[in-house]
Amino acid sequence: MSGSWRHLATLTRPNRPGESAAVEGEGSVAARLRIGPSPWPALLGVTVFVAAVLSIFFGGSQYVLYEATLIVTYGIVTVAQDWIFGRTGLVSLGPAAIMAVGAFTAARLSTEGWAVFPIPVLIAFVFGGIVGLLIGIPGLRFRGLYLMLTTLALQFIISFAAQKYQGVNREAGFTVIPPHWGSLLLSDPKPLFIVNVVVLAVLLLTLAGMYRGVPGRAWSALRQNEAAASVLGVNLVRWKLMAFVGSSAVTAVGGALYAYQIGQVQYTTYSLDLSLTLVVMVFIGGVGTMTGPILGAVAIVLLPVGLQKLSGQFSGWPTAANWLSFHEALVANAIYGLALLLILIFERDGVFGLLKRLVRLGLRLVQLVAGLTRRRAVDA
Amino acid sequence: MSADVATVIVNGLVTGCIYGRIGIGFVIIFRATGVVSFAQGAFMVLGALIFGSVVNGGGDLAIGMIAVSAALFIGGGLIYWLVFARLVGSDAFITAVATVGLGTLIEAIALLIWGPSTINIPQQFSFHRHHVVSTLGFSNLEIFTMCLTVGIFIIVLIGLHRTPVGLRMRAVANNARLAAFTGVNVVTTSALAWAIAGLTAGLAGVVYLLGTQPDPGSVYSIGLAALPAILLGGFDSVPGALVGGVLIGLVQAAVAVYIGGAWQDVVAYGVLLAILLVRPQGLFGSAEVARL
Repeated sequence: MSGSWRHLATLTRPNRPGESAAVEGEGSVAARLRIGPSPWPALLGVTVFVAAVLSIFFGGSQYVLYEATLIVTYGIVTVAQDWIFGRTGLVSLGPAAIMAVGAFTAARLSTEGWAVFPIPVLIAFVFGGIVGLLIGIPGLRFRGLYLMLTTLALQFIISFAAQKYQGVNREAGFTVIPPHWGSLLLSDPKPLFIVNVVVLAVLLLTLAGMYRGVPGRAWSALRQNEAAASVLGVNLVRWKLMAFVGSSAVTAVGGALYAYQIGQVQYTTYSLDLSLTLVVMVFIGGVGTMTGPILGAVAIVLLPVGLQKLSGQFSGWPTAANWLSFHEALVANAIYGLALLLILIFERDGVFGLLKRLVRLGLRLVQLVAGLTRRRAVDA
Repeated sequence: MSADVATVIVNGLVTGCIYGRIGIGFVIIFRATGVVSFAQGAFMVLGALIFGSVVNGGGDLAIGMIAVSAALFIGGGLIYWLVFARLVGSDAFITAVATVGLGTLIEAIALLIWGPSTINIPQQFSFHRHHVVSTLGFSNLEIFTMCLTVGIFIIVLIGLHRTPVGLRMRAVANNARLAAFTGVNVVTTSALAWAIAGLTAGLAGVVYLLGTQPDPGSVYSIGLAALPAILLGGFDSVPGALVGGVLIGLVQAAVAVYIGGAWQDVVAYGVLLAILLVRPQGLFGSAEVARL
């Protein structure tokens, strides 16, 4: 069987320019399978991204740099989660547990004197992959509901193991000694930020390449119909395991980077709440898109900050300001919950979909105005 | 009979009854609408908080329970109508994530209204224990919990199997499209399923509140702790919810007595993993077969 999945690749090969006139049409095979999109939005996005990174790096305060690093770290994890349930059609309710694996690995290695930069992160990557394999093996048997419960059980079991491990070794939690690379210390905000950005960029480029190529088509096929994919010759075991292992390895790297930024590792951080938040954020940002998960990460970090700023604005109305600053976390939760429901009901592509609609609306307005002025010119 | 064994039996039965009460709503929702609900905990929180307000406002046990039942019956139905009727035909994971969002929203709003402090109510039952055999005895509250649970199960089972409404609900559960063709109003029937689930979860919250003085967060997490019990019974079996609940309750009580309370949850999830590997359809559920 193995090898014959290439048929699938030929079946759904994107049309080259000039091969077919109907490539961009909504109804074409390429459009429906989301293969071969126009490169311009991606290019625009990269430009904006690079500009944002540079302005934060050179112009931002320590605080801005801290929050930006947090966004990038969460972005690494949310992109990895989207790989599982946006691209492969699998399910995971335990990303926080896998982050914990990475974080504890980094913390432990730092106390053992293994603090030369890429080494702890690489070991976290390997450990994350191993845990992903452990989750992936039951994942081969189950779909949907049962897989959801398996990952939920693993979240609890890994969290419990982390609690016991912490209880035996460091009652008060691990203090992470940041790794160094020559004279560069990773606890400094700027090197840490750059490392995060580089990891995210490498991840996005790799995944973009994979989604466009043979792996992406195999994942897309097994997301849409596992039985049909298997009949077409997609090796289910291979591609499912690859998604689980890859996504978990990346998530663990995110966990290690998170530990470096926070400087401390506590098992309570990596709770089911964090897992659910991460999953929900991918949906809010836009599941199955490149930009969506990162928008979700932005929302995780910036919504509490925004509420803080907002409560500062109510200076003339102290009761409201006090109420808001006291109930910030709850208000944030209510907004997450409501936003998720609205997005699932009205716009499946999340904030990314909303932005796309907005851009389309803007373009139509521009066209309209251009058309009007042209008509006026003709009339004159 | 040693005191330890008696504690295990009593605690196991009572915890099992609460799991069973959460589970019955879960099963009804799952059968009627195919939604895996993580929001049962939020219904429990609402039930406990409303009951606390009514009782502290001068109402007695019966009035409080009627208020909770009415409020959550209406609330459950409304939620189906507002949210899940619009998500019909979505992937199971999408609707499950929607219930996570819903649970977060309900819990956040409830805590904004009532505040996150522990819910204190005047003691409703005396501490007197009726001894059955030597050290094995039940307090009034424990007897009340078990009778209420068994009563709810009997009512739901009779309702499902002996009434026209129950027949319609089973028809929708079996094949929604076919039921619609034969003239069953699928939306109303599914809303009714959600309403019943809201009611049973709300009453589970009340019973949990009567036994302890919990903070709302711990009530919410009980909703998730019931999942292993539901899986053990079988996702689509109403009696399975009670049997699974009691079995997991007994296992947890035994673990708490003989190993330590910290191990309770992790053992329940270990059992869940074992069931998934050996018999994913649970004890009474129907198997779903897809071979390639």
